[in-house]
Amino acid sequence: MIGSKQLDSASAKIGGMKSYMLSLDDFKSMMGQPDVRGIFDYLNDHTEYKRVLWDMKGQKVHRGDIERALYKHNVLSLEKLLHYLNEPYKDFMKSYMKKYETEDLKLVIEYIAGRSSLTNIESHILSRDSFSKLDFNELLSQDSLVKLMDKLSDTPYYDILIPYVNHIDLKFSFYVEMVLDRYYFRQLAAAGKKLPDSKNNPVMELIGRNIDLFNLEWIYRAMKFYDMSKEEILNFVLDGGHKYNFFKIKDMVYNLTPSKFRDYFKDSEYGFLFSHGDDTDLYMERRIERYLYYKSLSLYREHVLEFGRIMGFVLLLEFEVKDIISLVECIRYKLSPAETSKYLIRTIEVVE
Amino acid sequence: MAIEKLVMMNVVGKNEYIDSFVKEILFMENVQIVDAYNEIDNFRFTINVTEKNIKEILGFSSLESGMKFGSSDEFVKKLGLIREIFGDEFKIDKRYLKGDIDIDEVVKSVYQIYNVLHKKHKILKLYQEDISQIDQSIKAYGFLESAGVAMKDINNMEYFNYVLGTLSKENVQRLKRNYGNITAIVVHVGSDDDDEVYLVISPKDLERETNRLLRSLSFKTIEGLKPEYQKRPEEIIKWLVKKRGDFQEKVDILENEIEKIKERFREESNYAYNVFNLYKRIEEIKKLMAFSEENFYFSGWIPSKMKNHIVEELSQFEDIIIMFNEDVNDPGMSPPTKLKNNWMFKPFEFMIKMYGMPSYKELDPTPFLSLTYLVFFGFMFGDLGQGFVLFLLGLLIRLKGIKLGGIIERLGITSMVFGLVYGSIFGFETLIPALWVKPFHHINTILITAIIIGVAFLLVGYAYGMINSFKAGNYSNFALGKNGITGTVLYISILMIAIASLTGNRIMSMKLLVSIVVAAIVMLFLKESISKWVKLKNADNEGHEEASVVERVFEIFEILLSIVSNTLSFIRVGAFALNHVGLFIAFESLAMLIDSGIGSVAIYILGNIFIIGLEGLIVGIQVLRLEYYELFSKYFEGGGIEFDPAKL
Repeated sequence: MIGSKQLDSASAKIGGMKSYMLSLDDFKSMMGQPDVRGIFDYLNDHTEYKRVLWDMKGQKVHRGDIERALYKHNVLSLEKLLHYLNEPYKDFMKSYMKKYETEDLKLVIEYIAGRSSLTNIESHILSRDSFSKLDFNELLSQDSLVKLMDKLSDTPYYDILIPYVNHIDLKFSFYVEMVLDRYYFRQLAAAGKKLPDSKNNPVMELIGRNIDLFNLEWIYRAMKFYDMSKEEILNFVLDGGHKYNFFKIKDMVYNLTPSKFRDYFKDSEYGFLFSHGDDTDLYMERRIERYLYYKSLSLYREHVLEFGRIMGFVLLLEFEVKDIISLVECIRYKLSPAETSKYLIRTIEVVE
Repeated sequence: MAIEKLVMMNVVGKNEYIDSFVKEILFMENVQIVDAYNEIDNFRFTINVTEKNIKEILGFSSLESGMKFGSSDEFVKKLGLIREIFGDEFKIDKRYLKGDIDIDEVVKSVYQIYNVLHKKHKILKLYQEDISQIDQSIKAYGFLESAGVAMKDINNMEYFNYVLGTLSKENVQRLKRNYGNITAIVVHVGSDDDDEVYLVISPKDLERETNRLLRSLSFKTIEGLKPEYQKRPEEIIKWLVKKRGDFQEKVDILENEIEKIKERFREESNYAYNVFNLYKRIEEIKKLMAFSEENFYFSGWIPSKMKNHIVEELSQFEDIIIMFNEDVNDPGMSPPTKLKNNWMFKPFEFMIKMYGMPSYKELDPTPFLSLTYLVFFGFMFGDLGQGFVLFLLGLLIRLKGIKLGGIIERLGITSMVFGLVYGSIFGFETLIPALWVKPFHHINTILITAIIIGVAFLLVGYAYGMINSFKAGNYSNFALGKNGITGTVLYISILMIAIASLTGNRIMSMKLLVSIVVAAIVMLFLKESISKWVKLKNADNEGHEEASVVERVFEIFEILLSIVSNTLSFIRVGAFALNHVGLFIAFESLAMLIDSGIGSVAIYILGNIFIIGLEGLIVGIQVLRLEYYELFSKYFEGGGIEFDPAKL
């Protein structure tokens, strides 16, 4: 695959885009800011994020606004990359970006079901025409879930959601979230199959690992905290794991209890997930992200002129946004830099 | 051939005839309504103080904005009623509304129609719902036909529940892979589109677990199985089909009746539809009026020439006071722009509006734009035959109702005229003699002529610009601006220097010209200071005096640069005239290479289509560029609002 002409321009483009990403020093400087406004100004004065933040200058900036703007930056960057990709990579990238569509759809459903009363809801929508065929303005203007479903009738979402909209109870949001996530990963895997050399593709491997980790986290948490039958837990497992397929997961669900996870995974690659005693539950998500972050980093570094480099970049971009958001949160609660670094995905040595 | 003169009309009338008054205004289709309350608030709506007007003047003190009264909701609702029955069948047409309207009577008649229809509609809907439910039941029992049991056996099970529904292929897999642990009997009974249909039988004690399990699999229940149906599925289906037939018959009869009633009342409803629409508009317009206890106050822009006609029309109303305010120089008043052009230039208004509406006080750029557009296009694309094809195309497009067609038609005509000048028909240069020159044989002549035409038009552009600044009262720009007198003098002097050094013909001494140029540049540089010094009025005080020296140096540099580039830009006009011939020569060579009768003809035809389509488009765009960039920058400001009279 090396030297494939198709990816030359995209590789060159991400080379340029990568140079705009934040350095560790940037993060350190931001950790030293006294308040949210300080971070906002720093991002505006020193980073590429000014593209989405500049318009907010001089106004009262809310944490939520920054978060949305950063994600918007992310979407815009991926959109820019789309121009440089051809099939099947382009389709894959669009499938990947569907995550924003499914998230937006969750938001719309919550909003119309009356479970969320965000003001200015349109501004929360991140989907764009380049990868989403849904008309979110139209969807948002519906006043009932039945009408919403009517508008979705030509999309794959209709069949997925229709069994749930007929009776809405306390678990409605949960089901919507689960089935949409399941759909997202299914269509992503389907798009991945069309990539050349899909069996040994490092990108698909990473996504498979991502699914593994999500599945482990899900069954661990569901068994520990939720009132659910084993069958139910199993039905919400995502397909397409790299190391653990459905049957292996099934074995775990029927044979393990949460306390046994640690021993069971002791010698496996994913042992880090459960090996932290009391901290296990608290930092599980961050640990998964840190693992994926370093995997993405090596994906980016080891593959030159290959799709792996591009996806590595895409993932890194996303982790950067997540880190900035955590950082903002930490500053808001006045955590010390040492404490803050615990909540970040990347490792930052802080000398106190 | 200009921007039409407008005047502000202020009217005070009696509230008793307000509806007919507004109706009259709507029918005129020549009044752009302005918020009267706002006019009064700003002291532009004044009444002569005479004894006769005393009540109207006193009314000012108890004035209220129509915002509070005008409410079109009621009529929107009534329009909704008619639409519910007739759909979007009716069109708005003012012919229906001539004569007096008894609104109460119309409302009554609509309610009558509606009452008759509404009941039947409701029954019809009920039947239709029943039918769709029966259809569902037929479908559901269809899946159970093969079971060969009477439904009463399943319905009356003591310890088990049953449910019918579908699963997607993906979820079927999930179910299968964990069959062993599921607390229900799951029977595959058929498929529905892409999904598989299952009958799930589970113990009543485990109902909660089963339901949750099914939900986690996105199990979609098929409705329509009813506990009161006790027979075997095939018998139930037979019975349901018969019942459905009976219902369908009733539906048909009802639909027929409704159709007949609709037919009977169609005329009447159409009238009512129009009346309600009129009243809806009247209410909307009332929001822009002001009211006192007895009087209404109304303001609107009208074309000046319609003044007498409108006064005549409105004098039918008793005690009406009509006043005109022609002081358009009041800075608070911003009259809309109504372009008025003859048939020749009218289509080009489209291009003006694309750039921006001229403001009321500007010269209408349409005639100049049209003439220059036509000349440039013809010059670049001169061909008798191809022009004719363009003309026909434009005609066709215009008749289809697309505005651009009118422009293409006219471009076709100038192309034909220049075709005669160049002696070119469908690209062939030998068939007819040229009235002037053949472009390819006189390349320099063509290029130089193009620049001369360009310079001439630029000078007209400067003149337009000066007139516009003068009319706008911006005397500083008029005298000292880069598009004002100073700028024009600078341009002409530089031109003369260029001519002198190229041809050796000296009309004025070089020294004099150079000193004029230097003087002009200095004046441009010191524009703000000089204006301040001689106290020239600058209408749109832009505050340029603060501009730094560096900024002004660059501004001067830009002015000089654009004088050169704008002028040379017109070379393209000549270049495209040559290009036009060149392109055809290419096709001609191809045709000669083929050297067979039919083949060559085919190439000639293809070539002509190519030239008309592609080159025609390119030339059209190039001219637009010359207009928008080189010429408009000299004189056109834009920023006006289009005259938009109230209509039904």
